Amino acid sequence: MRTAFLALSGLLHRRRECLLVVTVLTLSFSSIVLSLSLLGSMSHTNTEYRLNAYGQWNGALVDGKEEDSEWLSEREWIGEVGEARLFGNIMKLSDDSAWAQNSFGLGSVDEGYRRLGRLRLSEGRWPESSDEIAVEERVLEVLGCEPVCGQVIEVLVGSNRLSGVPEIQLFDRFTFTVCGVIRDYTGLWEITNNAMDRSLISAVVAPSAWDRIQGTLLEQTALVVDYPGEIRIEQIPQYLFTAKEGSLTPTQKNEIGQYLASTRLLGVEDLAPSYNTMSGLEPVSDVYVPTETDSYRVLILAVTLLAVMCVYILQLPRQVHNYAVFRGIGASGRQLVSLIFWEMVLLCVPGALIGTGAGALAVWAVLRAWIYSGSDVRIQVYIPWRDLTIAAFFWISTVLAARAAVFAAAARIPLTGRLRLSGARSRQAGKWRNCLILGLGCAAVTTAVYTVHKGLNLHYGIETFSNIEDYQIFYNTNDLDGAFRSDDLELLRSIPGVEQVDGYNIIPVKVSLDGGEERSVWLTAVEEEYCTFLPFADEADESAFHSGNFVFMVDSEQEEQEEQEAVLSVYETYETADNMAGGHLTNTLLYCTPCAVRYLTVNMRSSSRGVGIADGDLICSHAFLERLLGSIEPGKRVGDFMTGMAYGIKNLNLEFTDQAEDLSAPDYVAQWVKERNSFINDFAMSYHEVVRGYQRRLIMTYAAGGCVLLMVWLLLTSVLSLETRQETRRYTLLRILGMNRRSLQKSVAGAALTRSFWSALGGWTVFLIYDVIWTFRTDPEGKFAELSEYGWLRYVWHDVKLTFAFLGSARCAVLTAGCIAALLVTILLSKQKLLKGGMNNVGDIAGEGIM
Amino acid sequence: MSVILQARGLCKVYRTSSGDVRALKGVDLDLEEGVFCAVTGRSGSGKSTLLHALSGLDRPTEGRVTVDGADLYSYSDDRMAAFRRRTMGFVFQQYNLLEDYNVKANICMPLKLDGKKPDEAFFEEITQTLGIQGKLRKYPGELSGGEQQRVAIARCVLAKPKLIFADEPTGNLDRRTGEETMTLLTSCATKYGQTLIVVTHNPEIVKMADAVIRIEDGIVVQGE
Ligand SMILES: Nc1ncnc2c1ncn2[C@@H]1O[C@H](COP(=O)(O)OP(=O)(O)O)[C@@H](O)[C@H]1O
Ligand SMILES: [Mg+2]
Repeated sequence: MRTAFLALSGLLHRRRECLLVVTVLTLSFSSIVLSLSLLGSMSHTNTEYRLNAYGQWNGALVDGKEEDSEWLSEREWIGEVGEARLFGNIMKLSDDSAWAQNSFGLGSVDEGYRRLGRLRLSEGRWPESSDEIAVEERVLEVLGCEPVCGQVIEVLVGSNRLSGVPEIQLFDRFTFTVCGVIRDYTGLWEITNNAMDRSLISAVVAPSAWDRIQGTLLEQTALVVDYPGEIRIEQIPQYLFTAKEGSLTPTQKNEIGQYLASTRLLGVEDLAPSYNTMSGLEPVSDVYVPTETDSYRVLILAVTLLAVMCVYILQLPRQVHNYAVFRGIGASGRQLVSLIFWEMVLLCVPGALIGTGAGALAVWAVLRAWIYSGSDVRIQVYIPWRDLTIAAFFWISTVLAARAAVFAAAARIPLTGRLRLSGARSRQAGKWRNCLILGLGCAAVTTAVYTVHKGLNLHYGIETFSNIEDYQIFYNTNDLDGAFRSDDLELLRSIPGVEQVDGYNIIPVKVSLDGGEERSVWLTAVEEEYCTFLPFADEADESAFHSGNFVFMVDSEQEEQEEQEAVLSVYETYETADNMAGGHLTNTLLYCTPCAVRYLTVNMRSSSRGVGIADGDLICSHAFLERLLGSIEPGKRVGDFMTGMAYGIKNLNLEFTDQAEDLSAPDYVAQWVKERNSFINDFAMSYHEVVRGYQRRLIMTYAAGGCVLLMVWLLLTSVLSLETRQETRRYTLLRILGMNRRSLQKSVAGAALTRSFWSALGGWTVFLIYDVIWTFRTDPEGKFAELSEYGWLRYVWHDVKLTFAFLGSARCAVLTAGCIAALLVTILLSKQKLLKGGMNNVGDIAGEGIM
Repeated sequence: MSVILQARGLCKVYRTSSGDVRALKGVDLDLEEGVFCAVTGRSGSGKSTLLHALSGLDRPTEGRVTVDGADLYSYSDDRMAAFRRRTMGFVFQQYNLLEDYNVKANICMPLKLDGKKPDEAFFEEITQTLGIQGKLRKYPGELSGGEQQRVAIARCVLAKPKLIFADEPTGNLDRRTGEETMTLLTSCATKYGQTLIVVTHNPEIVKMADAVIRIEDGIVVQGE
């Protein structure tokens, strides 16, 4: 412990050096945390985000019975259970249209239900007295009210759950005071594959409101029915539950199914439990984060090693002297070792702690301010302890090794004379220092190029996936006659938050080119607005396409080809072809027509919004498809169409704006789709995850790249300043011997330029080597084939050419010039004093040098 | 008086790339407690080598050194270090202060390494005598050569070693400062009854000495 204080007081005097070590250590750790924790943090936060939207429950019994609660509590694999009680339905006073439309569930929810469902209020509080109500935002709007608390609303409340007389429905007017506004959730729950047959509770009242509702409604029974027995209104319990394991196993689901089958009446009651398909999802990040994290680990550790070496070289001469003096005045080896140990602890522990803290804070800030800005999701900062431990271990062992080297050097020098390193050794240190400067320069350039390259890659990825539609809607395939009408599309387009609605139809056809073999492909008819990605020569060309004069064939080979004649054949589709996968065509040929085919080279990046983008698929206009179907005798099934019926749109792609969620757009759309018995596919969440995956990799790339660059820069400046001190002595001597200022400056600037140049060259070389290895690793089989075909030199050259082509020559030039300039400025700035060429420290030349 | 330092058959051979250098060629020596002994000789004659061998800083190739009856080079490294900081002090020509510690910490370092607290009154007295009581918070880099050497002397004296070795302690100082420093060193040594062995070229100092050892080419030519 005594040596700890000795070490501390010694360190305190070497403040600059210590600050450098601690800063480097801090940066090293924070970049480790930042780059490694960002991934985990984002996937944890994403999960949180998803759970906020879809609830954290795993299963639900929406059409529950009283005895279910006991059954649920007896399953030991069920974690928590939340219960809601559906009292009836609530609807707009003036709404005399059918009962089912625009009526919403009304009831009470318990604490557990609110928690498992993550029901949140955007305003106000949950109801406490019997005349208070908390309502979903969108429901308030349908009821014709503002989403604010304190207003008194008058609504119709009804129930059709009367014991004994199931056909009867009772209504009455009620007034409630709105005490809370609930964030929309019911629509979101219905949007996924969850089977939600009962109304979810959109309007929450206190349990005590039941007596009031039942009482008022029962007064009506006398007026409506002439029923001999006692009439009761039933509450319907609804249960949400979680699995203890985090998700339900098939066996557990089976058990639920069996239970329902044994307690429900077939055909009358709901036999299907609901499962929350969104809550059990594994974080996507685990799938989407490949080895580039490893690249960063290696990079950070390599720079860390460089850093330790720098610090070691910086401290070597002085430390050697120090230890020697200590030994000279009688410090034992053990005391010296303990001194070194404490020095290390005092430097490493604060550095590591500050670094970890700063990294965690940075992660939080990045997530809050950038990725999840505008969302109230709680940011989950996840700290990768395992990686940190490895990093810390690595750090400590390198520092230890460096220290041991200093110690060994100090132990070897005789305790006589100046107690300093001999000339030869210090010259050797100088050589090392030179290499180190070059190495640091290379590291800086490699990092810069790598960051730009990777960043560009990820930007393209984000662009691609952001271009994909958010939702796909399919018209009910059992209803072959119907389709979405144009006013349906108009209505969807008018929903705030809906950015784009693209209607299209797909039918299976067979095509043969120039009398060749017939191939089964999809024929997609697209709307005019949807054709922006199709290449037309001019307007006449475009209108020719829309009037159905030719079709496009997707061809990713990207080679120019002439327009061709093809024969299109339409076969009858199997009646039961609700599964649109292959083998859907019967042998009955319905129609056959020649058509002109033009090749479409698809650039995935600009137009992956399309459908049927597999090679060979056809894209046509609605006019073309309508004509095609019209030529077939009525009453035949072709894809989702029945010939002879009015042509309409069967499929929609929807894109939402970024604010869609705040505007409840998904809820409206979900509701809209549900009312039309159609199907909706939610890509928004999964693609958001993908885009977020890219985003977080992008942030990681920039953050880690920035940290590494900063670290390298810090080290570079300190090694350079050391060198400058050394050189000042030499140049002053040369000046005394008659060198003029001009040639001194020339010599210094020339050396700096040479160094920057070599660093840039070395940096690019390292990057290209890495790049070749990386591409090889990502596709070893294909590359091996290429390798044996080309020979390795030509193969490498081919790869390098591709990389340069990807980056673009202009970007490469700017990058290289920027790197050289930055290095040059850094070197010249630290040699500023030297460049002035003064002889003011003549006296110093004889003095004892640091080296 | 009893013999405190005894050397028998000391030989030292430096092995260099250009052949072996025999710096000491069989030196015998007996020093009594409390004497002031001056070592003189030409440059390169082996004075420093002798001092290093006597003080345990550098192991001789051959021969034995006994301090207070104990065989110095039979000790392990750790015990030797402890023994050295308790019984011997060394003043270097290049001062060799610890640059990361201030003057006070430097002076107290040997005691601290021993886990002892310096005697405050004694510390006062020494710094007073050496005239460095105003510089205690300064760092070695901020002191002049004479001041640094006085700090080194204080460091040496504070631990009250029985033996003090000084290898040209005034070699880097101007004449006047050198003489002042030397006077301080000798007066300290006599005051606390310490045995002092000093390498010097200064005839004035040689005159003050109780005993003079002249070395020529690794051999003691005149001992008293
Ligand atoms: N570390 C060493 N390596 C090789 N030779 C040395 C070393 N130290 C001293 N010598 C040689 O030993 C001889 C005695 O040196 P030294 O004791 O330093 O002389 P002095 O102190 O009397 O000037 C000299 O010839 C010197 O060159
Ligand atoms: Mg000498």
